[in-house]
Amino acid sequence: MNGIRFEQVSKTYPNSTVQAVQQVSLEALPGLFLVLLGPSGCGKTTLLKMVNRLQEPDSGRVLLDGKDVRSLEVTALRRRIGYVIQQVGLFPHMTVAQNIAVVPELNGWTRARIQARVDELLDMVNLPLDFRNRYPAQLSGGQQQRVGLARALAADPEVLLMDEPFGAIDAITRTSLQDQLLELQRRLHKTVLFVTHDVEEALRLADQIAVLRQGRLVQVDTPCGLLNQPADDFVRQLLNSDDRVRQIGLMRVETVMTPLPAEGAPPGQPEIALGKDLRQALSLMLRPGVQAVTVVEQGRPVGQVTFEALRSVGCELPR
Amino acid sequence: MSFLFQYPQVVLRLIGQHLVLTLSALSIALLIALPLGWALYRWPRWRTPVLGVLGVLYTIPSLALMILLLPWFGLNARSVIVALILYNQVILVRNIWVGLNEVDPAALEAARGMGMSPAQVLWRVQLPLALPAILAGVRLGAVVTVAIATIGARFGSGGLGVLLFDGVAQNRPDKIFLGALLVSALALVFQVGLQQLERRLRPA
Repeated sequence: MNGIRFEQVSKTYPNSTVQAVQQVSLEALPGLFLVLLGPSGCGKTTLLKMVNRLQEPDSGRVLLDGKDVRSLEVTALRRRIGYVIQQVGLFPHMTVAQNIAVVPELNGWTRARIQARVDELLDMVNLPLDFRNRYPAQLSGGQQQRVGLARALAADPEVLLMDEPFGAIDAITRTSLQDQLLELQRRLHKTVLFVTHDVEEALRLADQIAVLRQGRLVQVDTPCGLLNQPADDFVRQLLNSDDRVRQIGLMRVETVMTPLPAEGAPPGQPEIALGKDLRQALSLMLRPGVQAVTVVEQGRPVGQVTFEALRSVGCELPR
Repeated sequence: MSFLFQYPQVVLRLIGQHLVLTLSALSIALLIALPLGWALYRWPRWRTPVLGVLGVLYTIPSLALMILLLPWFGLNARSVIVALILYNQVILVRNIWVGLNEVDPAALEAARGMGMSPAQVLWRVQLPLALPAILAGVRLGAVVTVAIATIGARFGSGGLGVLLFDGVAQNRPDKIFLGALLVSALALVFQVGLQQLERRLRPA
C-alpha cells in the first residue's frame, strides 16, 4: 500500500514574499483518509499538488510509497494517483464514459476491459448506466462530481487526491456525496488526501486531520483528538472544540457500538444505519421512552448504541 | 448567362481554378496559423505585437499586396496564394488563440493531473475544445479568400476573376454578372458547409 510522506517541504511562489508552505512534515498513512484543513491561503492545496507534482517544493521531499516523487516520471506518477478538483474539470467534448476511460486508455487497456470498468465505476458512484453516453453539460453539479470521482478511480489508483471536491455543490447533495465517499472508502481503503476549509466536512470524513495555518502545520490528530486536545487557541476556535454535541456529531455510530442483547432489540427501538454520526443517534435517543438505538447495516441489525456509551465516548479510530 | 451555356467547360475550369486557389491558400494558411496561434497562447507576451503586425497586413489593399509580392514570387498564382495566406493569418491566428484561450482551465488541470503528456493535452483536450472557434475562423477566412482570389485573375492565376476582368474589358455585362454570381455562390457554399461542420462538432 502507498503512503504519502512530506519531509520538511517548503515553497514560496514566484512574485510572493510569503512562504506558501513552511517546513511541513506530515505523513498520510496507507489506506487512511487524511484531511488537510485550514483557511484559504494556508497552503493546503499547494501541499496536495506537490504529491502529483503540479507544484514542486523549493526544498524538502515528498515520498510516495517510500520513493521521492521527483525521481518518478511525471505522467506515470500522475496515472497512479486519482485526482479530483473542485471545478470537476470534466472534458466537455467527451461523453461520461469517455471521460471515465481517460486514464485506462492512456494506460493502454483493451476496449472490453475499459467498457466493463466504466460500468463498474458508474455503479460504484451510484449513477445509472445509461449516463454513459451523456455529455457533462447534461448533468447536475453533483452528478458531474460523481463522474469526476469515477474518473479518478478508473485505473484503481491506491492514492486519491481531492481538492475541495464538494466545495461548489449545494449542501444537501454535498452531504449525500460525503456519505457515499465514506462508504466507498470503507470498501476501497485508498490513501486519501482531502483538502477542505469546511470544518464539518473535515470532521465527518477524516481518519486524521492536519490543521494548517499560514503555510505551517499546526496539529495532526484524529477528529476526536483535535476536539479533546486542541494544540492552541487557533485550533480550538477553528474547530469550536468545546462543543460536546459537535464532538459526538463527528463520531460514527460504530465508534461506540456495543453488541445487541441476546434476545435482540426491544420492539420499537429506533434504528440507525452504520456510518451515521452519534449526533443523529443522540437525536433519536431524545425521543420519549427510548433507551438505545439499534445499528443496522443494510437493514440487518448489527449492534446498538446506548446512552451510557454516548456519554463515555472515546477517541479511537473507528476502523 | 448565355456565356455559361455556350462555354460550360470554360466556366467549369474557372470554378475549378478558383477552388484550387482558395483551398491551397486556406490549407497552407492553416498549417502556418496553427503553430503560430499556439505559440501566442503559450507565450502571451507576443500576442499584441504579432496580432498587431498581422492586422496591419490585413489593411493593405489586395491589389497592392499582390503587386508587392510579384518581385519574389513572379507573375503567377504563387503571388496570389501568398497574398491570400497573409490575409488569412490575422483571422486564423486570432481565432486559434481565442479557441485555445477559452478552454476551461479546470479541464486542463484535470488533464495534466491525470497524467496526460503536453502533446496528449493538446491533441485530446485543447484542440478538440478549441475546434469550434478555429472552424469559425476557417469559415470567415474561406469567404474572404474566395472574394479576394478574384483579384488573382489580374496576375495570371485564373479563377472566376477572369470572367469579371474580361467582362469589363469586353464590355460584356453578362460575363460580369455571371462571375459575380458564381463568386457569391462559392462563398456561400463554404459558409454554409463549414457552418454545418461546426454545428456537428459542437458537443451537445
